[in-house]
Amino acid sequence: MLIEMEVLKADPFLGFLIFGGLAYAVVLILVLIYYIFKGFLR
Amino acid sequence: MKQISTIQLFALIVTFEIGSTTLFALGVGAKKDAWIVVLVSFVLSFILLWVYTQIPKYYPKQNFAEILHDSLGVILAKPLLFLYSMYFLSQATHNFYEFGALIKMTALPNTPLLVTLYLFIVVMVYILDKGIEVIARSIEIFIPYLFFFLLAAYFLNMISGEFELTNLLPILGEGFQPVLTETLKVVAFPFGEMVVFLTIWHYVKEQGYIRKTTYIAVSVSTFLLLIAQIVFIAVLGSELTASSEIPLLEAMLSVHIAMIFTNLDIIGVFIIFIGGFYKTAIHFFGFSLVFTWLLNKSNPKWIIIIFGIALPFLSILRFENLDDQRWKGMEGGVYSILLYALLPLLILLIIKVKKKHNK
Repeated sequence: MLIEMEVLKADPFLGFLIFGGLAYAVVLILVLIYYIFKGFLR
Repeated sequence: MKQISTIQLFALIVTFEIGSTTLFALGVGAKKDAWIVVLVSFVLSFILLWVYTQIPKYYPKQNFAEILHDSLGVILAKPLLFLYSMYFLSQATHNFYEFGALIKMTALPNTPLLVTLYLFIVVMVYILDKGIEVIARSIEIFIPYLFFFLLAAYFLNMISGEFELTNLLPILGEGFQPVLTETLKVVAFPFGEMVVFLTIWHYVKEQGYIRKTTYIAVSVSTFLLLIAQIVFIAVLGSELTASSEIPLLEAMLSVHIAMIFTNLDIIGVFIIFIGGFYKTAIHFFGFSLVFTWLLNKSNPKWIIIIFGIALPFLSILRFENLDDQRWKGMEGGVYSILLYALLPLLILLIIKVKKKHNK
């Protein structure tokens, strides 16, 4: 189920939230992996 | 510090959950099985609620910003706070516009929308400025009336003669696929919206009862939503429920008992008004708190006033009409899963890993 591009064009606020959320999810996954490896390497 | 009791938390959650959901037939894409969608979503929402209520167990009495600062560090916490503040503001504009438009449609058709929205926001700014205690206490006063009117509305519909339980048959007539498709939407709205309570948990006096109270409150509100879906479909049928703008009002207008109980749409307007007011207020309060923490301040007073003045304009600029608002809400709602489910889960996992290593 892909998001309609029309809605992103019509509502930039929504686009910011979706892409911001996506970007931050990636950042937090990297942070989580970092902490897990940090624990293993101790 | 201002605090709220578990009873007040219960009232906050029930009003928040019922809030704007009275305006929709939840899961009506699954037609006659909309009530099954609500039930399945409720079960799935328990996982989300577990995540939301697990975070304050690690950081009792600490606010959301302090939790993020401690678990992620200031550099990563600030953009995340900004993202969440924008999410809560976005939800507040959705609720605010929707209720303004519906009040205009049902009760004040000749009044410009901007005037209705400003009347709304003046009261909201006043009540939010007084703090969480006043919001909670006022909800505590209104909730018995809300329950009474909701139950009266359902009961009157049931005895009105229009109530046909056969409209719900056959159960799962089109298989489980439509139910599953709709479930994702209903988990997002209204259950996923509970993420805003991450900004409120630290106000609760008895931190140990947060999870229990949340589960009970969500169960009670789901029970009411479930009856609502059954009543809407049994009275209006699945086609009319799906096509009507406000099924609650349509159902109320169909009540004619002994020529005494007629034109009961006023009950629907009361339910919509109370639910809408507090749902917008809680989202706006969540935004104001997060934005205040983002600026390293503690009193959200000025944020509430400044953004309160701007909120009607923001809402009108963002949405052209009610259809436009619903289209944007429906299309975007599912994708906010990142904000209401994935990010809190990742935050919780990071907290867990960090705590484990620090032992």
